[in-house]
Amino acid sequence: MKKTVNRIGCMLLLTVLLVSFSGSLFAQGQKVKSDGPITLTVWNFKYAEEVAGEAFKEMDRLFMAQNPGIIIDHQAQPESNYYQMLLSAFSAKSDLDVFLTHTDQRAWVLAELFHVFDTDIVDVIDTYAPSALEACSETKSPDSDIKILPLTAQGNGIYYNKNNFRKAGLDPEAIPSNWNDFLAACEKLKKAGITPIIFGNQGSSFGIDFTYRAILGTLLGTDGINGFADGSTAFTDKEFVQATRMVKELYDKGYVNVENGSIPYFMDAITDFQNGNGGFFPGLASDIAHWKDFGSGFGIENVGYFSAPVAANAAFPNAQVNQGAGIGFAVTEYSPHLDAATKYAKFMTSGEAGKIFMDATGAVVPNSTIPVDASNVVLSDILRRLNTHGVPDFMNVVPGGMIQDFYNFMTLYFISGEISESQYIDQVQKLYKANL
Amino acid sequence: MNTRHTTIQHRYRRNRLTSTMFHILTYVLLTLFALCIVYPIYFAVISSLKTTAAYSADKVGLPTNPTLGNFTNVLMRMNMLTFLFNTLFLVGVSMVLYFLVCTAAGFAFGKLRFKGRLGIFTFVLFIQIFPQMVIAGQVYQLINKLHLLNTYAGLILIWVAYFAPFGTYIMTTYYSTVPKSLVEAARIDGAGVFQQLTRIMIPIAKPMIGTLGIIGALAMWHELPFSMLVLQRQNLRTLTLGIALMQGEFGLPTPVLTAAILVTSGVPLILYIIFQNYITMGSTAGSVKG
Amino acid sequence: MNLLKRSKKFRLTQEARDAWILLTPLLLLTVGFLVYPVFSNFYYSLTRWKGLGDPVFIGLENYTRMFQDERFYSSLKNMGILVLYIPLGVGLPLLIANTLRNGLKGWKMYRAMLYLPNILGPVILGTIFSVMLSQVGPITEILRRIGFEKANEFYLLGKSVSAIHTLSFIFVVLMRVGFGCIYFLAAMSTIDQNLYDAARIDGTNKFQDFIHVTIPGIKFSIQFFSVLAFIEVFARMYGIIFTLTGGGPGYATNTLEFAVYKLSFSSYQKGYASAWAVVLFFFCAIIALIQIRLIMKEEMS
Repeated sequence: MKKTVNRIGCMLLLTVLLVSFSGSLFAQGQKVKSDGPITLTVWNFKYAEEVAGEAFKEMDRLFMAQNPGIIIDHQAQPESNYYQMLLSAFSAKSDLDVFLTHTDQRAWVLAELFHVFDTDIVDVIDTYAPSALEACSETKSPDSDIKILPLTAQGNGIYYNKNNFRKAGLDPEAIPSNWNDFLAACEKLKKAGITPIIFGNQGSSFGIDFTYRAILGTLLGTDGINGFADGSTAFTDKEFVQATRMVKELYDKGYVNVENGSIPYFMDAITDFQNGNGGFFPGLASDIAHWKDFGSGFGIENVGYFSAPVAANAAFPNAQVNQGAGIGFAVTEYSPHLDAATKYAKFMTSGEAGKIFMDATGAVVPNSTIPVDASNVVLSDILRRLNTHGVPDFMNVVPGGMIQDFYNFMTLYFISGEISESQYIDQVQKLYKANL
Repeated sequence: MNTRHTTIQHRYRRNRLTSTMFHILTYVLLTLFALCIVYPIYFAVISSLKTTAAYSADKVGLPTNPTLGNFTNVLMRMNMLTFLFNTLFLVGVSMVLYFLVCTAAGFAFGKLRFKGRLGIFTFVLFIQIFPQMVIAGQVYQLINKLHLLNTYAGLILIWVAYFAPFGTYIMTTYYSTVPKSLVEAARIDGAGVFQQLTRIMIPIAKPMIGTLGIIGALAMWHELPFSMLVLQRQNLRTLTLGIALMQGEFGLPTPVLTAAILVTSGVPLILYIIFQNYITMGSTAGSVKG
Repeated sequence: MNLLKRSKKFRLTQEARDAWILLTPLLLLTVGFLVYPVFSNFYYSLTRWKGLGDPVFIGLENYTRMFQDERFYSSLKNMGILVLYIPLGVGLPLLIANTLRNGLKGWKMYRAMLYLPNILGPVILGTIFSVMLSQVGPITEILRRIGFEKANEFYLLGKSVSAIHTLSFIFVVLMRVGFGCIYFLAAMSTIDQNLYDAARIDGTNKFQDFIHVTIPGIKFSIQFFSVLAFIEVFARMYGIIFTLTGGGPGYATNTLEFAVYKLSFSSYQKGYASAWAVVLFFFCAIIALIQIRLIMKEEMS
C-alpha cells in the first residue's frame, strides 16, 4: 500500500514539475500568433555591432511608427556562421522573412529561395543606382532578377594620412597613385620612421586582400574581373601574377613588415591607423576602415584617398573597385508576409531610414533619395570615382567557398614565406577550380 | 653488518636526493604551465582596461589610464544578464536530466547483466564520438520537424542526447566497481526498478556527482554548434554564443574583445573559485580525495 | 529444487527487464536524435549536394576526389602530429600527480590555475591565444624589448610547422594538464598503501615505486584518460581551430573534423564533406571499440 502511495506521489510530483517547466521550456521564443499585427522576423549579422546596431534599431522604430500593423522582430546572428544558419533555415523553410546578406557568391548559392523584387520596386527602381542593382541581380542586370535590395555600396581604395605625409616631406595633395610614386612615398615614410603601410592580416588577410582588389581592378577591368565567375579568368593569368608580385614587393622592401608592425588583427590595424600611425591604409568606401573612421581619428581634412596603386602597364588606370552593393536586404520566397516584408526591405534601403544608416555608419547608401553631404570632400571624391570608373570587385565574383582558404594561403606565402610564388599561384588556382 | 648499514644509508640519501629532484622538477613544470595559462588571462585583463588608442600605442605594458569603458560598452550592448540566466537555466535543467539518464543507464550497463549488453553499449558509445559540427545540419532538421526549434526543450534534449553517452560511460565504469551485494540485497527484498533507483543507485553515485557534474556542465556550457542552430533568437541565447555575435563582420578591437571575454567568463570563474574545494573527483574505484 | 530453478530464471528476466527500463531514456534520446544525423553521411557521401535542393547521385566520385585531395592528406598528417602529443598530454599530468601524491606545498594554488583552461573553454582560449600570438602582439613585443632582433618574425601561428605544434601544445597538453592532475591524483589515492609499504620493505626507491606500483594500480584510469584524449583530438577540435587559426596557414591546421565543416558550410559541398565524414566515422568506430575492450578487460579482473 505504502509502495503504491509512494509511487503515485512521485508521479504526481514529476507531472507537476514537468507541466510547470514546460511552460518555460516550450513557450520561449514563440511569437504571438494572432490575427492582428504581422510580425516580421529579420536576421541581421550586423545587429549586434555597436554603431550599426543602434542605427538599425532607430530605423525599425521609424518603420513601426509609420506602419502600425507590422511588428519587426530583429534578431542578431553571428556573422561567422551566418550562411550556415541561412542554409539550415532555408532547407527547413523555418520562420524567417527578411535578412541582411552580402552580395557575393556566398549568397548567390542560396538565391533560389530569395524573393524576386522586380515587380515590387517598379515604382522606385530609378532611385537605386544601376551598379547597385546589377550587383543585387542574379543575372547582373540592372532591371531584372533583382533578389537583394542594396543597403550599402562598397568599394576598395587606398587611404593616406596627410599629416604623416607632411612629416615625411611629401606633398599631401600630390596623390601617389602611380606605382613608382607609391613606392617612393613608402620609402620616404620609412625613412621618416613612419610605417608606410598598415595591414591587418591576422585571421582573415584583409590587408593583402584589399590591396589585391584595388590592383586587380586596374589590371583586369570589368570584363576581366567578371571572368572569374566562370573560369575564363584564371589565377594563373599574368594579371594576378603581376598583382601578386606588386604586393610581394611591398613586403620585400619592408614597407609592410616594419617594427611598429603591420600585421595585427584587422580591427587593431584600423585603430592603429585611426590613431595617426602609418602612411597608407588599404580600406573600404563604406561602413568600416573608411573615411569616416579615419576622419574621426585624425581629422577628415587629413584623409587622402585614391583608387589604387597603378602599375605602368595597367590597362585600366582609373579603375575604382565598386562592389555595387556591399550588403543588402533580401526576403525569403516562402515568407507568409511577402507584402509586408518587401515593404520593409524597400523602407530600410532608402529615404529616411537609409539616411539614418548612412549618417551613423558612414556607409554609402546607393539610393538617390538619400542626400549626400556635399561639403564632405573625400566622400564626394569617392562617390565620383565609384560612379564614373567603377569596376567589379573580384572577391565578390570568385566562388565564396574558396575565400577563407585563399586567406590562409596568402598567409602562407606572404607572411610565413614557406612556399614559392609558383606554388602559391598553383594552390590558389586549384582552390578556385575546386570551388567553381 | 657494517656493509648493510652503509648500503641502507646510501639508499636513504639517494632516495632523498631523487625525491628532491623530482620535487623541483615538478615545481618547474607546474610553474611553466601556470605561466602559459595565467599570462593570457593577465594580458586579457590589462588589455580590457585600455582604450583602443592606448592599446595601439602599447600592446604589452600596464594601462597608464585604466578605464572601464570597454566593460560598460560590452555590458550595454550584449544582453549579458539574459544570456547568463539562459545558460544557467539550460545547463541546470539539462544536468538534472543528464544525471538521471547517466545514472540509470550506467547502472544498467555496469551492474546488470542482460542479453545484448555489450552490443548496445558499443552502439551508445560509438554514436556520440562524432563531432557536433558534422551532424549539426541534420540535427537541426530533426529539431525543426519536431517543432522544437527555438525552444529550450529542443536544446536540452539534444544536449542530453549528445553528452549523456559519455556520462553513461563514466557511470558504467564506476558502477562496475561497486559490490554487487548491495543490489542483490535490494532485489531479494523485492524492490522494483524505481525503488532500486532511488534507494540504491543514486545514493551510491554520490561521489561521482562531482565528476559528472564538471564534465557534463562544462561540456554543455561551452557547446556551440547545436545551441547556435536551435536557439535563433536573442532572448534565448547562451553566453558562449554571445561573443560570436559581438564580433560582427570584421571582429572587435582587442581591448573590447578581451573585455567581452572577461565578462563572459566571469561567472564560470567565480563559480569555480567558490566550488573548487567541493569538486571531489571520484576515481573509477569509488572513494575520493580532493 | 524446482522452486529454486524457477526463481533463478525469474530473476534473470527480471534483471534484464530492469535494465531495459533503465536504458530507455538514453536509447530514446540517442536513437532519436543521433542515428539519422550520423548515418545520413553515408548516403550523402555518394551524392553531390549543396545543402539545399535535391542531392544528385554520383557514386564514388567524392571518394576518388578525396583521395587525391592535398587537403585530405594534410589533415591526416596534422591529426598524426596531434596524436603524437597525446603521450605528453597524458604523461605529464601523471608525473606531476605522482609527486603530488605525498603532498606539495602550494598545490591548491596551482590546481586552481591549471584547471582554468577547462573553465574558459576552447573558444575563449583560442581567441585569447590568437590575439596574443599574433605577429604584432604582446609576445612579439616582449621579445623585442628583451632584445630579440627578429622578433616580428616570431609569428607562431603564421608558419605551418609552428602553427600545428602550437595548436597541439595548447589543445593536447595545456588543456589536459589541470583535469589530468586532479583525475590521476584521485585515482592514485585509491591505491592501497600496503602495496607501497611492501615495496618499501624490498628497498625500492621512489622511481621504482612509480613504475611498479602506481602505474599498474591506476592502469585503467590512464587508459581511460588516453581514450578521452583521442576523442578530443579526433572530434572536438572545431572550436579551438576556428578561433585560433581558421585552419591556416595553408592547410596546416586542418583536421578531418574541421575540413568537413569547411566543405559543408563554406563551400556548400555537403556531398563531398560527407565522404570525409565517413572516413572520420571509421576512426571514431575504432576508438569506440577500444573503449569497449577496456571496459571488458576491467570487468574480467
